[in-house]
Amino acid sequence: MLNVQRFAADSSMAGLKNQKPNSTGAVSVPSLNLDAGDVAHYSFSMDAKRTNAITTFRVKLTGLESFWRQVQGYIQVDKPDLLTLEYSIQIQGYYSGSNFICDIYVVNQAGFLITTPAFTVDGELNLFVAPF
Amino acid sequence: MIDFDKVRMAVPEYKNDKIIGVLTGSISVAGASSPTLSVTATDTRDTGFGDWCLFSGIFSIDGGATWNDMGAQTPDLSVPGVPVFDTFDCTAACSSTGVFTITCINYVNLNTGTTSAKTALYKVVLLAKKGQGSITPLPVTALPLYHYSGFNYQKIHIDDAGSFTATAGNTGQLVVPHNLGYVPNVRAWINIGGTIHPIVFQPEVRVDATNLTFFYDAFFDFIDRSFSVIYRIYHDA
Repeated sequence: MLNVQRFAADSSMAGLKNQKPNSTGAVSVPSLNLDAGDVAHYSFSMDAKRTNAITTFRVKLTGLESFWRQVQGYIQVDKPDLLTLEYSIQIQGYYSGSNFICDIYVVNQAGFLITTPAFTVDGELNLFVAPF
Repeated sequence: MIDFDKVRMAVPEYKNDKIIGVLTGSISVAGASSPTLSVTATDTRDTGFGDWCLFSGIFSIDGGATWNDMGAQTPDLSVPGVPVFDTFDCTAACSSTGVFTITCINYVNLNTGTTSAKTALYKVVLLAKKGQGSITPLPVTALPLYHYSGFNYQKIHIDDAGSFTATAGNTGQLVVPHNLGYVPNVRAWINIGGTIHPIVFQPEVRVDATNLTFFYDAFFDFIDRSFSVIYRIYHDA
């Protein structure tokens, strides 16, 4: 038995000395004319340092919002809002080899032609624990 | 002589995440065709802790070439104008007694009317919660559990929980001040009926230099009920 309150376990990344080797990336999404059902797909890649890991990942949608969103699984931004929905933005990430790919999907939810605003997605990947 | 009673050391104490185990495995999910909408398969893993803990997980359905966060699906955009966002999902949840259920859902593609059988590999790292108490950690085989002071760790600034009552059809938020002056990294989970889930999609986990905010919209829940969120706010290195 072990009292984990006294348990100094590993949360290091082997070979990485600093917990802030944040890989960063960004992509600018232009204003889009989307027909009903259209989806625009954008992505950017960040160096994840290893083939799989546990990270914290967050994004900021400059031009639309002033705060960062912590991503666990995926996030969905509904504009103008879910009640009067015209478009939504879904953002998620995955590891491909030693890269972390951030996918951005801009989805027309209106059922008619819409023009979406331009925005920039900044992403920050914080390497965290690697017990695998 | 040294009077040890007069020796004082200003050593800041930072807590960090304590790894108390890893769950790895695979789940095979059968294929299906319409009118079936999806096929679900689960794996049940008892940690033996007798208590819940925190966790984070990833999964792969291509033999380990790519790994998604649990809760994230890879959309199928192969048919223009008819995107399919529900493809294959894998999630984990921890019961109040430390029994994990890893759930995989293989969705029938709305465009093709079929889905093939798939095998998901999963990896879940278990983290001690605040006040975890005495347990027997699960073995970690890939790396030893150790603490090396040469590394810089993600240090915990706030390790706490809060609750809110969502009322159907209304937006709301729970604001947690951290006052760090910079945007910290955060991890967050939600307790639904005694089961712990990572927060995916909603409530939104918003962070700025002053606050962590859990925001939920009018469609978050269809009945009035209370939720508990568990959060960790980390210092920058």
